[in-house]
Amino acid sequence: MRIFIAMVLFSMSSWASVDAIVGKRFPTRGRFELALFPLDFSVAEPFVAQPYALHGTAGYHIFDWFAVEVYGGYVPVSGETDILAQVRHALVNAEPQLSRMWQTSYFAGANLQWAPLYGKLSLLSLCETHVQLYVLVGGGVDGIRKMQVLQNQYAYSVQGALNVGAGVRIFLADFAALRLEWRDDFRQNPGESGIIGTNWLQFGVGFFL
Amino acid sequence: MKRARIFSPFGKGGRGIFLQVAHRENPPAPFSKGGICFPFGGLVVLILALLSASPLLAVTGSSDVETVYIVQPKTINLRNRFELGARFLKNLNNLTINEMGGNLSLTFHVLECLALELTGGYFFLRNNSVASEQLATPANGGLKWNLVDYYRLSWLAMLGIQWSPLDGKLVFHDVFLGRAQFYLRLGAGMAGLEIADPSFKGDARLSLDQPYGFVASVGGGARWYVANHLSLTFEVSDLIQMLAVKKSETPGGLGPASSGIVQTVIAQLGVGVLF
Repeated sequence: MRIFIAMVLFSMSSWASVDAIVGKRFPTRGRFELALFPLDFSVAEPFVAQPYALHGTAGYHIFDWFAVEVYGGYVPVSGETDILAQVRHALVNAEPQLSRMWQTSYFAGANLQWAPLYGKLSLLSLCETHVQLYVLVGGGVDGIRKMQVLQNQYAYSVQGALNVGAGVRIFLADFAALRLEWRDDFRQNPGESGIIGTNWLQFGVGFFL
Repeated sequence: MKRARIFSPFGKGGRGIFLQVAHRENPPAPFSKGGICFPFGGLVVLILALLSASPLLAVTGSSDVETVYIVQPKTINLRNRFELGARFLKNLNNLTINEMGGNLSLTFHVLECLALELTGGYFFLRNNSVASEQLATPANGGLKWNLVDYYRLSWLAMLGIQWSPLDGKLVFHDVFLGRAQFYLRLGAGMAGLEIADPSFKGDARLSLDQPYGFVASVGGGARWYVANHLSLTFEVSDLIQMLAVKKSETPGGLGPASSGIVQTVIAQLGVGVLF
């Protein structure tokens, strides 16, 4: 793959800066990584209030640019937004007919990570940091629930989910890196048509073994 | 006997590279040729003090190992150059509205780390979100958020300033190297405005007394110069407006007035040409 990319780039005579690489300061090939994401934020949900979640991952870097990772997480607090409370107040003896009312309780699955970009950056020319940018794709399951006011209980379900996302590792040391990640979790809720996506913005730290 | 350890993720001979042996306690700045790229020098001392305790500066190894730093010039110089860009835009906080569009930008790099940017954009896709339309149906009580939350942008013209505290190199699959900048951006300008009440089908728009308004923005992004004249850009910016809907502007003049700070988070992805 590298030879192919190099041939394509060298064939473009106007392109510059195809420089040789001596080595990476923080290679990841052949290393295990355990990561904890204590701050996951759900973004732009209209009817479900799930302010934050936490999750952990365990991964193995087969190459510097490719890794597999399993993950599992939990949403400790979830509820409904103010506008949905207003809808419930306006409706008497009826459930709202809205999509995106299912709340995520937990999630688990596996992702593939492709990390084509590695960088060395200088902060104000004072100190340097090394970063790795990656995209991920995978799938798993979401444990979800939905409030049913008339029955005064939750309906529960487990649905298959697909993930896409992107992130960056900021290496702090040989054994640790900060991770910032965006993940879009796609699933189909019971009784609803169409696929919905839940956006998560995730902050964590990874430890290399 | 002392041993030397080469420390260079992207080191390569051939373009003015020089070697420099430094003590571990005092490593040279990796891009020291241009000096500290920080136009507000007063804070440097504070940042230095904070970074002195940072693990980023730590160098591992036994005491008899010296680190050899290879200092390279920047692959592309930006100072006093113009950059013409074209980007695709999409709003991320699509709670009430969906927007997609494009913009053109002209950037002048005053310094290696400082640039001025003039942008003009147009949102060719503008509609209320599915959640907005579902909410407004009689089956759900015909409710809606405050009308001010349904403001959407039709066009955009802004002047901005970019500061790049993070500057370096990104390599693609160990074969292709380009200069990268991560920047912060402040901007201000004008934007065209419109509202379509979700209670009415057919995207009927309200008649606004002033269908434009002042907009300020904060954001950040990354630029990757993949060739001497070509860059890829990704940016996320928050467009902030203080807006209001008068009672006279609501459907039939019967609705409640509303006002508030409206934020539109825009993701941008595009290319630029340096000249």
